[in-house]
Amino acid sequence: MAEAAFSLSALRRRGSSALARRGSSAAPSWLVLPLVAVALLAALPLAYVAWQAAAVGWAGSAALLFRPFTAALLASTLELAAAVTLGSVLVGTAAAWLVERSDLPGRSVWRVLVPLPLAMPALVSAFAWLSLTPRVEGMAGAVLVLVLAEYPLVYLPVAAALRGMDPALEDVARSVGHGPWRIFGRTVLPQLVPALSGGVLLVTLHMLVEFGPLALLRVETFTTAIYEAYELSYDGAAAAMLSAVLIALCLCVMAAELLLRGRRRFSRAASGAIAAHAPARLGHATLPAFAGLAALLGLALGLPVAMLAYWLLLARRAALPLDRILSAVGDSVQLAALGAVLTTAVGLSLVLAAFRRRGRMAVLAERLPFVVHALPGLVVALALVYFCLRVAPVLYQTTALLLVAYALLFLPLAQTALRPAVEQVPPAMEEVALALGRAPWRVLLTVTLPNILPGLSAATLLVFMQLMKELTATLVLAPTGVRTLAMELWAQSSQMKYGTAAPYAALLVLVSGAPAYWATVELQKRRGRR
Amino acid sequence: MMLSRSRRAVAGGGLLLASLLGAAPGRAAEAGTLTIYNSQDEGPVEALAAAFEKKTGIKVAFRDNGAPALARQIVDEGDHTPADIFYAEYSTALVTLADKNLLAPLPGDVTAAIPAQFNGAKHDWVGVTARSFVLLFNRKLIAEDKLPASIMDLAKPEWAGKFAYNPRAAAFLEMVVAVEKQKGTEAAKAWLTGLKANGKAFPKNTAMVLAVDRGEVELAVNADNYWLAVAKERGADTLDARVHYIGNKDPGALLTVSGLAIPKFAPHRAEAERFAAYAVSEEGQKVLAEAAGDVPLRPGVVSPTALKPFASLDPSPVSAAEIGDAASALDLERAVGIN
Repeated sequence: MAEAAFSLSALRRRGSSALARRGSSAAPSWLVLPLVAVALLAALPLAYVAWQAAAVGWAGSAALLFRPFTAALLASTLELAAAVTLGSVLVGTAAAWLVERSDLPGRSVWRVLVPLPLAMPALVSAFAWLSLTPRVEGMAGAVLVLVLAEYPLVYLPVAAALRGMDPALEDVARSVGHGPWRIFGRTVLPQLVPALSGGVLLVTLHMLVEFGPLALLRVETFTTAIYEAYELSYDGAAAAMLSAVLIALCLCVMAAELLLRGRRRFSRAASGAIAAHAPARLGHATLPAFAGLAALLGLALGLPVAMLAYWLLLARRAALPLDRILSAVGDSVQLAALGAVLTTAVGLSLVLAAFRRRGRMAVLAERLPFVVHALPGLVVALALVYFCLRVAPVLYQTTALLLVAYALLFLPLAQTALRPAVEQVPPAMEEVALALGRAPWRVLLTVTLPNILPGLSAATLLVFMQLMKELTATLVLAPTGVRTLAMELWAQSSQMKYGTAAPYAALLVLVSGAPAYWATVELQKRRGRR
Repeated sequence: MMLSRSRRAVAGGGLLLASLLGAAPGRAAEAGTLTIYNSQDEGPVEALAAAFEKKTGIKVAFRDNGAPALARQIVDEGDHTPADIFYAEYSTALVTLADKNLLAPLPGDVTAAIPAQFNGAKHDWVGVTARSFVLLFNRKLIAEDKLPASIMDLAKPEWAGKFAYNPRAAAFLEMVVAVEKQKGTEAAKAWLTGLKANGKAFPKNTAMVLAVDRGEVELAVNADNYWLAVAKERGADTLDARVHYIGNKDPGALLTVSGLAIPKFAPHRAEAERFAAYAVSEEGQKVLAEAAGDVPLRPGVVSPTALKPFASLDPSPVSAAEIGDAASALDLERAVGIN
């Protein structure tokens, strides 16, 4: 029964979508409100940067933009982004191929283990490495630490694509005499492009806006320099000018990704059963491959966990400030939970509006958050401070304003998780309820929401985990006296007090990392199944 | 059945949200709480606040950030500022606010407790503690008598690759102003150019202590309190990094002043004045001295951790008032390309 309903909805989506979407407004008209709010708020950071530039004038802006320091930052930011992206692509793709396509022993165990470093926030692993050896300071060390943290973002989509690929194409290539490398290069790799480009976009954007781990590892990029300028200069212009360059960079990356993905299409005409892939025999390469994966996990997960354990055992001798630790857990959980609920609610209204009442405004509002997602948290936070003090000073330094920043920064995450769930609810169900005379808000509450509950909870969880780790916006916007786990870890580890920092780091992994791993893998599975 | 369970889940979620909202963090909202915008190391200021709370019953809440960030925040906040006290690690932040007429005058007995050269010219901010710029050196790599006699020498080629400095620290900007005042702007620019060529730029002061200690560099331009903090955590005897006071009125022997002020629009002026008075009182200064590597500025209160008596430091004669907001130093650094 349920299956019939789903395939019906699939049919509708593919076929007469115009008919299905035209008048069926289970999405009440007040859904336009969040659309307008999001569009306005998302424009704020851009307006803020323009405003600051205007305040120092053209000459002042140009002097700040075209100083030698900016060029040095540009070089190091690009170097970092390129190296980490390339490293993640190589490591992630190789690991995915080994796990999905080779006869490596214990593949079912590797399948669980390889994406596990998702549970280790980069701020924590940077702290752990740094507390082991100062040699990780600098570009090479940062690339190492960040590749180990980011490769699962390439691994997951590539592994899913390798699983879903039709082996017939490779069989054809084999039958005309292509060797294994050539098959990978000419047949498999082109089919991986969509999965890879998604991963590449994610990793590159992460690197452009990453802050905490880079500041700890002493690598200067635009984000750390913006923070430094914010911490050093008595006017906001220097930080704003650097932000402008960073925003331009992020937009370039997103545009490049759109171009890259837009041109290629890889789909199977028939969605019939996929024949199983015959695993490639590794032969003599088995041992090195096995050792390589083991080393990867040892460095990405084993080492940080061991360092945390070391510092915790050491710290047991001293008195742990339990009150302070508990209050940080409380603050973190409260803020992240509230933020996750708000973000998911707004995200849901955007997704519903986009699906049920199309139109330019809806499309724009649905996409705008993705642009803001490319902005560093600090810029968004500074923009909110600036406008809040001028428009609504009552909200200044309240939880409410921080939650707005959270929503702005993490809406895309909620939207991505919610879209498949909403897609699967047949509009016919809502139409029937409407036709039977239920008010639109009751239809939303009694028909739509219960049906998307799994997607809704996955989205909330996902946002919650990200918010637990959020640092830069929280530093600027948190109400006076609030100290989250991430803030404490940042404060203690930047003063090199490793023992004091360790409990916060460990809790951050437990409360945010472990469920983040679970949620991401679940989401990936669900996407794989569709 | 299925549906009603989901509905219960929705309702449960709503309840949870409502309870979370009710308990939303917002401690400073408590009536009568003194809000301190603090850019000084937490330890000493929190010790001071705890002692103050115990003595007066007035509760204290902190907002921590860098001095310039907090100063800019007070400017942006204008008459909405929730800050009752601005406790600044660097005098430049206090001068910036004083120049914009955003500080309230302090009671005469507060400023009188501290020698005038450490206070604001208009009696609107008061110095509380000071640190001294020093040369940190690794005792295994270089003998103390081989160290450069002046901070100016670091621009010479013989020191290339041997030292660390933190050009984007607010304190370093103060030293750049001191070099400007004592040697002239051109000399300061040449000096910075030399530092850029010779030195390793570090973004963190504590990291420099550790870099000297493990021998990554022989020397570092740093303030003494960072060494004291590391020594406190690891034991002074275990450190190969040592402290050398340059003295001789060299710009490299500059004292940087941390102080406090009451913003003009502070909501709790009376309580803030009590806090200011406590911070410069003998009792308050002793609390600070116990908890910090910074030296108390009230005459007669002696720091138990000081490596050298305050009176014998022979520091740079450039005062906090002369350093001002150090904007010229930022311009110089940008011209040279280290900022």
